[in-house]
Amino acid sequence: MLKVRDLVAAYGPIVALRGVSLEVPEGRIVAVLGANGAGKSTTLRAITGLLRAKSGTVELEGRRIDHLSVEEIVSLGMSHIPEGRQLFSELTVLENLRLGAYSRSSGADGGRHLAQHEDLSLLGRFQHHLFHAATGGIRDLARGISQYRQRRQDFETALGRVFDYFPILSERKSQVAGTLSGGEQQMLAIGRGLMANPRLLLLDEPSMGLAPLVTREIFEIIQAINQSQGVTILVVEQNANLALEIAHYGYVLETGRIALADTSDNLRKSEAVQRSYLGQ
Amino acid sequence: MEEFWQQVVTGIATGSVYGLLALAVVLIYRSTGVLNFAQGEMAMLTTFVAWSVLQWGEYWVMFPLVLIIAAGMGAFIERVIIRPVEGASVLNIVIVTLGLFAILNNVATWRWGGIPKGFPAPPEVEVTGIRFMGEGALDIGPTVVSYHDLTILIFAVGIMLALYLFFQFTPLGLAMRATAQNPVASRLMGIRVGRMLTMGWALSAAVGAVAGLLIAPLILLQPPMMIGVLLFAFAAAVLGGLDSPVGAVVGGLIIGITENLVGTYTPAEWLGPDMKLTVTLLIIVVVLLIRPTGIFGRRTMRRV
Amino acid sequence: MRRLIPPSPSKLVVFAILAFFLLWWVPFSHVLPEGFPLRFGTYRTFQGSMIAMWAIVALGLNILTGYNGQISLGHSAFVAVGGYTAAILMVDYGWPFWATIILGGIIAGTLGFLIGIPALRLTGPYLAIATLGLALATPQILKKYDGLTHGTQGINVRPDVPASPQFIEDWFGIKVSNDEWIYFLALFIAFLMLILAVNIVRSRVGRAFVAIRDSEIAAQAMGISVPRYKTIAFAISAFYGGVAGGTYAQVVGYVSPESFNFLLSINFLTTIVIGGLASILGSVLGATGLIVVPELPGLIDFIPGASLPSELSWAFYGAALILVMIFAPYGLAGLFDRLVRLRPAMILKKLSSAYERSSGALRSVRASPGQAEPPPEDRAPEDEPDAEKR
Repeated sequence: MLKVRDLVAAYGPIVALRGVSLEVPEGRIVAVLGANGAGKSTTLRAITGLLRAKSGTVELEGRRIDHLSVEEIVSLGMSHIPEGRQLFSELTVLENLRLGAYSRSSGADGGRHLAQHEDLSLLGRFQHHLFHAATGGIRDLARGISQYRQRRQDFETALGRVFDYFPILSERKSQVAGTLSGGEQQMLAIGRGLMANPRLLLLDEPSMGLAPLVTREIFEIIQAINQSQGVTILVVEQNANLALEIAHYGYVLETGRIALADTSDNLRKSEAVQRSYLGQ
Repeated sequence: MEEFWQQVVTGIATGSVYGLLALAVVLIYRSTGVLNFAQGEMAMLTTFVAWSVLQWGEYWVMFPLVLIIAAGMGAFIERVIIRPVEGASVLNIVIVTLGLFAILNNVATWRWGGIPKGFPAPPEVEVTGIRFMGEGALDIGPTVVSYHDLTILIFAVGIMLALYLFFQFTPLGLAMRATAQNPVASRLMGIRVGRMLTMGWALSAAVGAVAGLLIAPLILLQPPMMIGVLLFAFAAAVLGGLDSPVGAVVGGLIIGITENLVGTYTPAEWLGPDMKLTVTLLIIVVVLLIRPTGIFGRRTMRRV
Repeated sequence: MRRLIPPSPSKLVVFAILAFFLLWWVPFSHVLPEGFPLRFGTYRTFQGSMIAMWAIVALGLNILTGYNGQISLGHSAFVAVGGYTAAILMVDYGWPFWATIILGGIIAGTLGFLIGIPALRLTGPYLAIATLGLALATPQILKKYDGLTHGTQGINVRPDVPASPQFIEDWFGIKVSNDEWIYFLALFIAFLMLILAVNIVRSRVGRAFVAIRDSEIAAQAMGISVPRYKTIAFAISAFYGGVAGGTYAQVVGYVSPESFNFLLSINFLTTIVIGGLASILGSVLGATGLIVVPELPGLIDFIPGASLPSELSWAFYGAALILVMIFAPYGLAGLFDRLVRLRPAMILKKLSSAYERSSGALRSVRASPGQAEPPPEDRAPEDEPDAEKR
């Protein structure tokens, strides 16, 4: 589903990824492991578009996405749950979840728009872009009005599903997000990501800052999401054990390069993982 | 006692004016964290444009047209002038708004001249036999209230309510609030952050335009007309809490009333009307010390 | 005491040129024949005094806002306090001028400290508007209590401003006019305040200021008393304002309530942001700009064929502010910094990439006010660590 080839990315003069290639097959959970500073978060950010890659390609279901904007990529069915959660801490739980569904409500044409794009010449693309930029707001509104009822229903369904996974969120619907505990915040972040009904979920260090029990619970839910809904998952983690328990395949990243790539069973058994995890 | 209520009522009228412009200030503050020092000048410019439009059109044709023009101007300013500095420190953006202030003020003087012009109040409107707006005054109890003052109050409160409903209950309003709080996360939700900011500025410019249209009949249309109002608008916005539209209007009303009461009821030798600005500001500072983020302001603690 | 490190030869040359310019060219070049390029008439001497004066305010305000992160829009009040103290003491009580400047500074500084205490409760825009209130109130207060302040008519200090003292003639053998003497006086005071500022900024106090600006919580955790240093910062910057005010009384020779209105405060803020926050050089450059930039439209007349409609000069000033903020987010000092590090060939490349970077992409992380270092991507290649080395 997701193919990354020879991705090179840098923060100014500091090169963080030196040609990373990985593949995430549909319906699978893939883990990316590595020590601090290995480039795990950078990889996700480059995939999502928060960071512009210097070279390399990223393909989502066969379509190149490496030059698209974050908003466009997200509307193609990919949800990124960032490092540190990045919740809207002054909004309520329910408002956060509503925002998760936002791309569904206005970006549903994202894919179509881009598909039309590809066949056009440079000038054509420019005109197309201009048209969409100028009238985007109005057309979003128009589409919004006509599809209101359908989307309302989709929203309720998605919300129900999120509350099934995370009942505590239902209890704390009206609570301000910033006042939740760490574990609850992570659940909200994941739930928010799910509201868009993504086909691909990118998780950046979900265990960060959380107690072991809560982390285990969250990983179990992540696995459930994959098994019951068939959502493809790419999870970046420092906690190698937990990640490999639920993943089908794993990659180990070491200072910007893939050092190991194998099924999770093999990785768990290998000593090389221990070595790479500790780093040289 | 009669005097007291009259002062209060007059205070409400001027206060609504401050509140309206304060609303515009709050709108931009919420979306960019910046105090827009050009807010008053934007309103002044659109009022001048309105004056020109009135030369060939009627008031109620002019009104929506000017709002649209104002929104366009606000969007243009955000996209062209503010966008390049949006990532920079807040002070940098403030300086840009100051530069904008200078430009707008100068352009208005150059185009329309510095001689004060008259500007009409919204003309009479009758709804089910009750008269709104227009010239003249109304007797309410012991006080006399002009129709125009009433108009201003109604607009201020009405716009405040509309904005409150917009931000609390519509998806777009929610998206704009989200963008103000966390632009990165907003992008991940698929929200086009740039567009939200542009809309914020457009909305703010439109609200400011209304403020200008309603104030001009009272103080004559001239390039420096909004400077004093802007200062009070800032004070009102800060008093009410910079992220609260309700606070902006309430702050404005409080300032308007306080200003009048201080002017009337403090000993003229020591304080009195010459010092009403000072005393009012002092009161605002005292309130701020009690509630450092304004009366309705809400800045929750952030985890370090 | 810090060891004195002798400056490099190129720096010495720069200092020498600067000293010559400031000590001779500005005040005395009018003795050169008319038509001599860049000959400064006597008005320029006055402007030089103004620059020195505003530089003092800028240094003080930068300490508070640039280094300590507290935004003050009320500094016109402190300048007013200094100016009026000096004027009243000289005209009504016959004090010698140097004492009035010092006392003006002290009284302003005390006022600043007192204001700094409630200011602890406020941050960001709330503090800014509260201090703006102070600036707004000042003219009203000055007019009201006219028993002391002579009210709206102001105080004319001129007759009491000391004429060029005898020792100048005795020591240097030249006769200086009153304006030239005032220029040297202002320059000297500014120089003293500059040295003081450099010392403050490089000391523990200065570092505490910056720590507080960058993160109050972290600073507190390190044992820095946040309330103490924040009020000290206010006091120091107010002191600078007061000294500048005292100097103002000498330079301009007249104080009135409207001389110190809120527009002045806003000008001060503009000065330090354009000049460069948290930068000594920036404060001086900003003050220079404040006086020099309004002269620029006049200069355009020298370019054949070009002319600026004078009614739009205000608009051009505004446009200039905006352009500087877009292309030099770290102010003139930031520009200077970058230019000094680069070889000439790179300058063009940097200019174009700066524009590219500034328009378009929104940045999710905002720089805190007054970062003195340019962001990492602006460093020239020779400064970059070799990231590819393993």
